[in-house]
Amino acid sequence: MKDATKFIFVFTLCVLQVLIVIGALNWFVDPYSIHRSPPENPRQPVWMSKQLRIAKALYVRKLAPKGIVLGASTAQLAIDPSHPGWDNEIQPRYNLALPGANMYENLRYYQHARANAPLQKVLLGLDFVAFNHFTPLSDDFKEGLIASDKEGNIKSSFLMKTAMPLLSLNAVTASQKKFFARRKETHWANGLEIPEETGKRDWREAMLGSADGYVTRLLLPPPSHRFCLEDSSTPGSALGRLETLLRTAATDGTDIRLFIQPSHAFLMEALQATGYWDDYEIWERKLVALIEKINTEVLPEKKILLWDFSGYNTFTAEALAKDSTTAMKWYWDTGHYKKDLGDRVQDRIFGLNPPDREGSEDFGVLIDANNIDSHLKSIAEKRSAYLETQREDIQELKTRISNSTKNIPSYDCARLRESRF
Amino acid sequence: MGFNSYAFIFLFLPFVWTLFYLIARTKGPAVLWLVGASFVFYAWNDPLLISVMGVSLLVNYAFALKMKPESTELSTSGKRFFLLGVTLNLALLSFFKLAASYGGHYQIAFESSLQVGFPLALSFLTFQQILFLSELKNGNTEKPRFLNYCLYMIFFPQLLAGPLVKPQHFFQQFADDKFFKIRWDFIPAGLTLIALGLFKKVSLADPIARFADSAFNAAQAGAVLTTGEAWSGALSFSFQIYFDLSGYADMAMGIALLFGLRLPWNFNSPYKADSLIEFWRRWHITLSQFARDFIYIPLGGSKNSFLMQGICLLSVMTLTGLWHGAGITFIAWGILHGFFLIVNHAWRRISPEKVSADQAVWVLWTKRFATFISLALLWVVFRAENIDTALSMWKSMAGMQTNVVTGINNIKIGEDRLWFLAVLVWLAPNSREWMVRFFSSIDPTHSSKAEKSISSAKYVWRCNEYWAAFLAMLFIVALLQLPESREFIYIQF
Repeated sequence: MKDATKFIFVFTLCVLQVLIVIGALNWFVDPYSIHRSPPENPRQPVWMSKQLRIAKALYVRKLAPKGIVLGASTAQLAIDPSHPGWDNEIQPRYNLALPGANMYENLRYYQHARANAPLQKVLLGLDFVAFNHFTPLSDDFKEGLIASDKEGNIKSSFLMKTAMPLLSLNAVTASQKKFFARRKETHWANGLEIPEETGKRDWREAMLGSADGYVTRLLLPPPSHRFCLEDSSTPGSALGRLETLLRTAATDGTDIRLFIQPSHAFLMEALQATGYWDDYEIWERKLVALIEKINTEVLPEKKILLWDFSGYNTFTAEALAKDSTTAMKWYWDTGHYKKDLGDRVQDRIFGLNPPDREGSEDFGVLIDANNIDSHLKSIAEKRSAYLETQREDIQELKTRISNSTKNIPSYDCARLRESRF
Repeated sequence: MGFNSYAFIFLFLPFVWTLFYLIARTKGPAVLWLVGASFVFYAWNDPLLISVMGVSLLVNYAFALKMKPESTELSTSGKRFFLLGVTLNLALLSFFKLAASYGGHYQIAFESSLQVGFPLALSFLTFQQILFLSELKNGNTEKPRFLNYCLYMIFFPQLLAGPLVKPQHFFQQFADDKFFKIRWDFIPAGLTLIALGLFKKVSLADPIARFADSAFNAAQAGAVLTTGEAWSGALSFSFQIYFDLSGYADMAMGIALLFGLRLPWNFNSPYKADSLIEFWRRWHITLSQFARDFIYIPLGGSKNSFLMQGICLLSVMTLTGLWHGAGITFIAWGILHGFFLIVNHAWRRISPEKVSADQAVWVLWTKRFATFISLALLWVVFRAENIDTALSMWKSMAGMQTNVVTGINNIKIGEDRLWFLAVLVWLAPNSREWMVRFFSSIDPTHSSKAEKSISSAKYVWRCNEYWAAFLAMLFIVALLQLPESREFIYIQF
């Protein structure tokens, strides 16, 4: 009895003591910025853990935003929720876009935000690669942190949301990282990512190398290195997830705006070089058809609009300098555009014409069933003109892509469909 | 609710334990409390499915009443009720197993379908019901009162994934008045096994699972794996399922000890087995014994005919595979195990002198290694989503893939983890050995001579403050990883 009592006492004391110390340290360091009031100024720089999916999920619980930006790293780096185009009464607003997020993650984070506060406005940036059937789920995506089930019903996760930021190995790691980060901020308080220093950037390599990386890591992601686009009627398809998201938003009366990202023309050429341009066109057509269907079935009066900023326009066709030190004006790399361009995207979507920002008439086209054919035809025509001026760079791009994809076997998506029967 | 959840560790278990001992002076309400708590435990995620459990309890108890007349001889009608009871239990299990295999939908008429989920713990409830009816039929146990019977059947530490407990083993302890008093000497041992089990599950099994998933998901997606990647996946899963079941078995036993109840050991270092036959005597021990007693022996497997033995082995292992799920991969896994066991038995018949207790160390380790590699190969088809994936993995493991490109699959390989886990599996003492002094002290018949001989070793657990602090650390490490934890593998079966 005496030994047993001593054992129980020491065991309990050790567990409690250590947990209290760890919990207190994590509370003090606050690696996910949830134990203090959120900054009032959305443009205040903050440090965010690299476990972004955990960090943003927890922060959204705290902030309960009524307006959100969704999408992948492209949107995280360029779409500022503090843009004046947003209605002022929609507060707070948060950029909930996540690097490499596929449509499943976008849907789940949308459901998460919706479970925390009624959403008034959503801006969703669409990336072609997020619709690939073979795009894997990120390692740090945790279903347990999402405040709703997969049907969108709110679920209770009190212990998870309490324990994760205080008593988890993730929190300990994040605290340690934050402690040694020496106040080097990574994001603005509204979730927009702060760009990295680019003082020594080799801009030619950044542009051409990223187009190459786009193909081998995003378009044809490991491990399967395949790309297949599935119909929205296919269970678990990315288009099906988008449909669920749009139907929910439409039913809730949320103002949702969609836009196709203004990727650099190099990225379009990468699709051409790998033979996926046809799929890109099919994707745009499917998006238009899906939105048309939802507008007809759910929203006969107030339409969901889809903007296309891709293709070959004044901004996306920005030329790459021959030297490696001259910075690109609008792009960090082929996929990621700068906030200045993101502001112009939002100007177009929200119908603003700020006098201090020059825009372009050919930047951003509202697409629907009536103009999709002419729009795609127009892109093809502009491409011909573009190729005339960028022949050398495009050739280099093609060579790079050809070298890096030579070991990737081709795949017929019909096999995927056959395997379901 | 799983043992590896905040809700169970911080709310359910402390609350149920405390209230039980507060009201334990009045046995009826105390038992009722444990039965009610067990229902809540199973109903946590899907309250509707608890009705299946309720119906099973009522129907089987009704059969038990019919089966056990006043006379010790079982009447003909009693035998009929036994067979009917077994059939109904298996029919219920089959219904839900098949429903789960078809994505939880049963086609009703042509256009409508009935959606059904697989009730948590139904597999082990079914087996335990059959065990109960059988022991009752054989006169090995008395007919218990309904509430006591319910507690025996659904007591929450034991049913999710076993161990299967014989009624006499349970009721013998239950009849002791000590059951209703706090067993202070049991609690340190219980906490030890809970901490150890949680650590095995959350800190060993779940982290290595990422490496297994990485390889198997890649193969399933059509990637051609290198030999190293495929072996990494197969070995990672072999260790994942090992520590998953081992962790569960320790936690189940530890939780039961907190309530003063000893459960049978269900796991005994199966990868230290030097043959597949030996492996099945160490892996999910009570389930293996159940399959032996209720399928293998009744089919005639214990007779001295090699052909009959082979047929019975194949039948038992195919059914075992089928029990995991109606998928072709589980059936293939079962058939292959049956085939390997036949080869193992054939080898023993050909060279019986090879099986000896004092074999050379290198012979023993060679056998262990060969057994482990066979198991790892067989786990591949168990883990794979389909046969194509399994074939692709095997082909990669054999180095027979022709169009392999290194460095592009992005598959995680945890080589250092694999070495660490291999050392733990083969060189570290298991829970039974760790706890030999405690279990020998409460039951002198518990341990073998070999086990008793190590009871003075330094690594054997003692009820002192050093062990308490060490186990507290393991517990904390596991707690910190709890948000990353997954369900126990065997719960889904």
